[in-house]
Amino acid sequence: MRKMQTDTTKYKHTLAVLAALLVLALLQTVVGALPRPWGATAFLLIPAVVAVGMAENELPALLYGLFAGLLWDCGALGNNFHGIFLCTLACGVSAFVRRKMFSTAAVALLLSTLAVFGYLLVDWLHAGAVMATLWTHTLPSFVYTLLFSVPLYALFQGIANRWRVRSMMH
Amino acid sequence: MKSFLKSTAFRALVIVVVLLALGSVLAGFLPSGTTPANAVVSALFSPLQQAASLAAKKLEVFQLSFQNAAALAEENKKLQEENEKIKQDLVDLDQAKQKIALYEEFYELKTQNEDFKPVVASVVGRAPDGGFATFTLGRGTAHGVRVGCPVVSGKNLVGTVTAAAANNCTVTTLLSPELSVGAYALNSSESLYVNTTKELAAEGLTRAPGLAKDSMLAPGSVVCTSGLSGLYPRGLIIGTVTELADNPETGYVQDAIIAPGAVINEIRDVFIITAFDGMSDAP
Repeated sequence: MRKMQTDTTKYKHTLAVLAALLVLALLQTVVGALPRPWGATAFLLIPAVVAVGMAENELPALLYGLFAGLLWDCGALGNNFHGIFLCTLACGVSAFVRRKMFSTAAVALLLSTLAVFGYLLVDWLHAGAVMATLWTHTLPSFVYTLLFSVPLYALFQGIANRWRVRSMMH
Repeated sequence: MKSFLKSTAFRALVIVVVLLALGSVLAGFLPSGTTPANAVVSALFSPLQQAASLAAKKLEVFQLSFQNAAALAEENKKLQEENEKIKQDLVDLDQAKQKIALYEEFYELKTQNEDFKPVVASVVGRAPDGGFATFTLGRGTAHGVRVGCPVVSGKNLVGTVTAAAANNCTVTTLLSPELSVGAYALNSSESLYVNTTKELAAEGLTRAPGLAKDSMLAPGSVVCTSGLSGLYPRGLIIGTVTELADNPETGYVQDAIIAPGAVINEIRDVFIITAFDGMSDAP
C-alpha cells in the first residue's frame, strides 16, 4: 500500500515537471505567446532546466533536460544541439549542487546567468558575431531571460516539495 | 566531482549525448533531414504548438488592445482637441455667414441710399433685466455715434441710440415701450406710428395702435419708417403685420400687431446710421 502511494506521488511529480517544461517550451517557441520587449526573447527553458537540476537528482535531471532540449529542437529540425545542451546542463547543475553548493534562489540566479551567458555567446558567435544583434537581441534576451530565473526556481522547488521527491529518493 | 564521473548519471549522460550527436549526424543522410528524436518529439509536440499558436494569436489581440490603451487615450485627447477646434471654427463660420448676410443686406440698402453713413457695431451688452428693450453697442461718440442715430440690421430698423459715451452707446429697441416710430404701410401708404407694450414686447412683437376700422392694413402688410420726424430715414422696414386686434382701451379702433423685421433678440451685429439726408439735428 505504501509502495503504491509512493509510486503515485512519483508519477504526479514527474507529470508535473513534464507539464511545466511543456508549457514553458510552448511559451518559448510559440510566436506571440510571450511579449518581446526591445526585441528580446525569453529562453525560458535554460533557467527552467537549471531549476530542475537544482531540485532533482542527476539522472532524473538528465532526462528532464533531455525532454526540454528535444522540445526546443522541434523548431530546429536537423540537429539535437539543444537536447545535448540542456541534458548536459541539467545533469551538471544537479551534480554540482549536490556536491558543491546549497540550493538557493541566489545560486539559481548565478547558475542561470552562467548558462544563459554561455548559450547566448555561442548563439551570437554562431550567428556571425554581428555587433548590431548584440545590442538589439542578445543582451536584451540575456536580461529578459534572467528575469524568469528566480520564479522558475520557485516553481520547480515548489513541485519538488509538494511531492517530497528528494526525501523519498534519498 | 570524481564521484559524479563514476556515477550512473554520468554514464547515462555520455550515452545520451553520443546518441544525440549521432542522431544529428544521421539527420544529414536522411531524406527528411531530421533526427529520429526530433521526428518523434515533433509528432507529439507540433499539434500542441499549433494549438498554442492559435491561442497566442487570440491573446495577442488582447495584448495589443491592452498595450494600445495609452495610445488610444492620447489619440482620444487629440481628437477631442480637434473636435473643439472644429466646433470653434463652425461658430466662427456661422458668425462670418451672419456678418456676410448683414453686409449684403446693408450693401443693398446703401446702394439705394447713398446718403447713409454707417458705422458697424457689435452688441456688447444686454439690458440688466435680460430683456431686449435696450442693449449696448461697442461704438460711441469717438466713432461718430450720437444720440438719435437710427440702428439697423440690414434693411430692418432695430431702434435708436438713446445714450452715447466715447466708446459705447445704448440702443433703445422697437421692443421698448418707450420708443415710438413714425411709419407707413407699404401697400396703402397709410400713416401710422409703431410702439409696443410690455405684454407685446415680452412676445417680441410691436403694434401700430389706433387704426380706423376701415384701415387697409392686413396681415402680411409691410410697415416702414416714414422719415417725417427726421429721426429715421424713410423706407426702413419696421416689420410685418401679423394680425389685427381690437384696441382694448377704445374698442372702436384696432391695433395692428407687427412682428419686427429684425430678430432683435438674436442680433449680434448692427449698423448705426450716423448721417442721412434729412436727419434731424435734435436728439
